[in-house]
Amino acid sequence: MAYQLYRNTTLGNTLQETLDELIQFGQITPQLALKVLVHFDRTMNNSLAQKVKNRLTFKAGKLNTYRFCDNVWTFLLSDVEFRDVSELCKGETVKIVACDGKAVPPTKDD
Amino acid sequence: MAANQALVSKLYRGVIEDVINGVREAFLDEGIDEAVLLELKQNWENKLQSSKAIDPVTDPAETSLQSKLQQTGQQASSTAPANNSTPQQAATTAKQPAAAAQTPVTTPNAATGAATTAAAAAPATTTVRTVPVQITVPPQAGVAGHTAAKSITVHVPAHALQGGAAGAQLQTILSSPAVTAALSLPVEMATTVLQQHINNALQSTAARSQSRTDNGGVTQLDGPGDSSDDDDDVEDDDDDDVEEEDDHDDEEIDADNEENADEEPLNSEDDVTDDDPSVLFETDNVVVCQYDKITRSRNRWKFHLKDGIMNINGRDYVFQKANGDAEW
Repeated sequence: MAYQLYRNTTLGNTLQETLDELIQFGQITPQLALKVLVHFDRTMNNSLAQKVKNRLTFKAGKLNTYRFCDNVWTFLLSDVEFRDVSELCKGETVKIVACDGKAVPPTKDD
Repeated sequence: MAANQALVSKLYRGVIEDVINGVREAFLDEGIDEAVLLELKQNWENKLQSSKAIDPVTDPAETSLQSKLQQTGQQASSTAPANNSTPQQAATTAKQPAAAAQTPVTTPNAATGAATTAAAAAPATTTVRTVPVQITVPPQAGVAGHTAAKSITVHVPAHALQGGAAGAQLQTILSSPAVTAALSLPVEMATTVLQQHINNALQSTAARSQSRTDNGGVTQLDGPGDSSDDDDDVEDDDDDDVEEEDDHDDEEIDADNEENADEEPLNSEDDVTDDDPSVLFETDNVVVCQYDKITRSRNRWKFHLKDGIMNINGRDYVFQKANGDAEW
């Protein structure tokens, strides 16, 4: 089982909503939906590790809060600037949730 | 980050394809039809596009279906309360696929169960909003030449899909023998026949319900006849101030117009997509990633992150690595 971290993204949330609708209509079972989500976790982790190549830097005006619990860092920054080579985007408040990149997530054979 | 956007789109498409292909086997193991898998994929892609986090890239073959599904998809957030009765029927339908003895009962249940409904809309007298309703007919062993599930799309006035009396009407309409026979016809003919049948049935019931309210004999308080200022002794705690202003109006047409005004703002809240840039910027800017190293020196923090997805100001970005600085 890879990190379930990416379920709270646009892609992950839309998938969960779609699965919930199908369950509501009785077209799939909750167990199947769970299998789909687990597969999504694996695919997402693999894709991000292999298919994405770009780097960016960011600078924040202020770090408002930091939290480290269960090996997960959560930061709240304000007035952040993200820079990707030549391009720039800004955010007033940004929340960063980061799991340990070096740890091997607990694996479970389905 | 325009180049990044193209990357993101491509990545998302790749992930969707991978997931769908990977779970296809799981779907088949559970005995779920491939059509459901395709529905999953299409709904997923539609929601992605309507979220405006990435640029849409659509296959030409899917665009016609997508435009219909988008319309219902945008109103899908309010379908949960209205769908409470129908999913239970659909659940029983899914468990008993090709039982020939239950063919007449199964088909209308599947029709109502598979219908995607819209939010409450104006009654039929003024602006009629029709909603495309997709009726998926499961394969029936007893019917010749009908081996695969087929989808029929009919346009149903939105008020007919409301819960309560109006929703029961739709079920009755779809349960009639004429409908059952029609569903066994080829798709195009079935669509036309069903559409006419629904239109006729709803017009007659709408006329009936209006005359009922005029008489004031047995007053129907919901559905097309819903108007809180019809009777003085009927008190509705959910009244908006707008309705109190219109207390002088006893005409039903005016009441319906006023309901339009009430329901327009209500309906507009159901819209999931945000075109207004000022509202768009209210999104919670989130970065989901993994950390390589987090360091701190006094109050200076340094972040070394990797494999992340960001949603900033409503738009999605991805990165392989990200380095950052902040002061606490």
